Amino acid sequence: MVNRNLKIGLLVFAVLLVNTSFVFALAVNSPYYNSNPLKVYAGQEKEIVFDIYNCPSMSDSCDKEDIVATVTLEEGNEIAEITSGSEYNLDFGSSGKIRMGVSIPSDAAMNDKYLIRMAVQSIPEGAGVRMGIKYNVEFPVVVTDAANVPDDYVPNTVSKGEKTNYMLLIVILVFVILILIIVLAIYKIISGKDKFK
Amino acid sequence: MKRGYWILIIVIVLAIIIGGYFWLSSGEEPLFAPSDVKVRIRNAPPRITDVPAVPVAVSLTPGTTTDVLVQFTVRDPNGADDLNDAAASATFSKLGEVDRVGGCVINLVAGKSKTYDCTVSMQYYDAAGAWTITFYIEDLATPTPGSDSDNSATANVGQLKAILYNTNINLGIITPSDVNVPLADVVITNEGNFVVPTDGTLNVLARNLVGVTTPAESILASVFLAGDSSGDVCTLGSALIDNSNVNTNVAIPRGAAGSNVGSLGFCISLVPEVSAQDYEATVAGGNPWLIEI
Repeated sequence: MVNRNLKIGLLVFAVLLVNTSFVFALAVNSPYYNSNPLKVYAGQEKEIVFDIYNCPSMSDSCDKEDIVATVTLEEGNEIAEITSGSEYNLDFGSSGKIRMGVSIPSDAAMNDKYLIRMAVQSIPEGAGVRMGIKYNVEFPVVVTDAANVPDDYVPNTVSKGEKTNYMLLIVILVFVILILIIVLAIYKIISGKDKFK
Repeated sequence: MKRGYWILIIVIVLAIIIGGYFWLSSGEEPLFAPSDVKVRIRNAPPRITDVPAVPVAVSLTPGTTTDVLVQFTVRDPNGADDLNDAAASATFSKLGEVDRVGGCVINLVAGKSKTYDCTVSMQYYDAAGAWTITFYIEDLATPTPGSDSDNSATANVGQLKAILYNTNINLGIITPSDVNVPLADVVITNEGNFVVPTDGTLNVLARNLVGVTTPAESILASVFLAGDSSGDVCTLGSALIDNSNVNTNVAIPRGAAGSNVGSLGFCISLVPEVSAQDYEATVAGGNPWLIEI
């Protein structure tokens, strides 16, 4: 029995010697999440972009390995589809974009809710006990009035509107009225002269 | 109206005007007397006229900073040259978070207006959610410059899930029938802004380890316990379940390097009496383990 136990111990120890450590650095960014739902209106079609990374900082804490990530839509198929494919090859230090099309039925009622859950997963190859990563990107989709649906940001600015100078406006208005009165008076005088002729 | 009335009205008005002029010009301090006039035009402060009208989307970058570019436009009645470019700034703020302040450069000059491009550097651990953007500008007036600020714009910071960890669980030297064998911790570094367990839990999906030489033999996932290694995992850890998610109750904070580390501990509650061979959980074997957040 002792010999048998020793054999297990030695074998496991030997496996550990040949196993290589691998520090994983897959990451995903989502603009929407459980406490920040996607607001949409009935009939709206929208594209959502998620950033996916493999150690963009290129720090020494990451292993300089390329990653293959798979993306699957686990919930929300009735309104969403991943349009950029299910497999992403990420070289060390690089990033990619997952594109998701969302299409809301035109007959969707106000306050209707949907749930979208997307899994971004990667598992490293190798022997021993390998532990991959699975990020669950999950967010609610709420149907609301079109007026409550915020526009997507584009790097332009919109004028807040000039503050109106009401005093100047009143002065101009009074001035115009005075001119009109004077013109009218002159016209009357001239027309009166014409009658005498 | 007869012409005579009009002439009468005009004569009366003229008489009033002429009489009034002479009356105001007479006396010791006549109103219309020539005098020196000095007009001092006060400095007109600049005014911010344009800011982003819709929330600025911010996608953070794991483990490093992200530069966010935002624009605003200012008009100065004294002319665009009166603006102090060095004072232009944009500040992102959120309750409980460190303000992120960025300087600005001129993008465009149009008449009395200038449009500035401001770059604000966000950290990977800045909280997700709505941040207020405050734009600020000063002019060059002395001794007190005119200024304006605007905090009506917002930035929406996304949720960044980014953890670093060693993917290989170190089983160490294990002996059949041993109980409560602690394994080496898996150190997890948070390079994002997702906080465990505030924003969600960290689960482990384990699978039975399969013998490499004799696949019929296995080490069940249920003999493993997992938990936060700040406590005794062999006592407090959660028993793993084959092919199912188990909440490990691990805490992973967000923050700058050194303050963003959690630790996942494993323990084998009872080493089964199995034959001496390699036992694996791999992609090739179809039974890899998963950390899920």
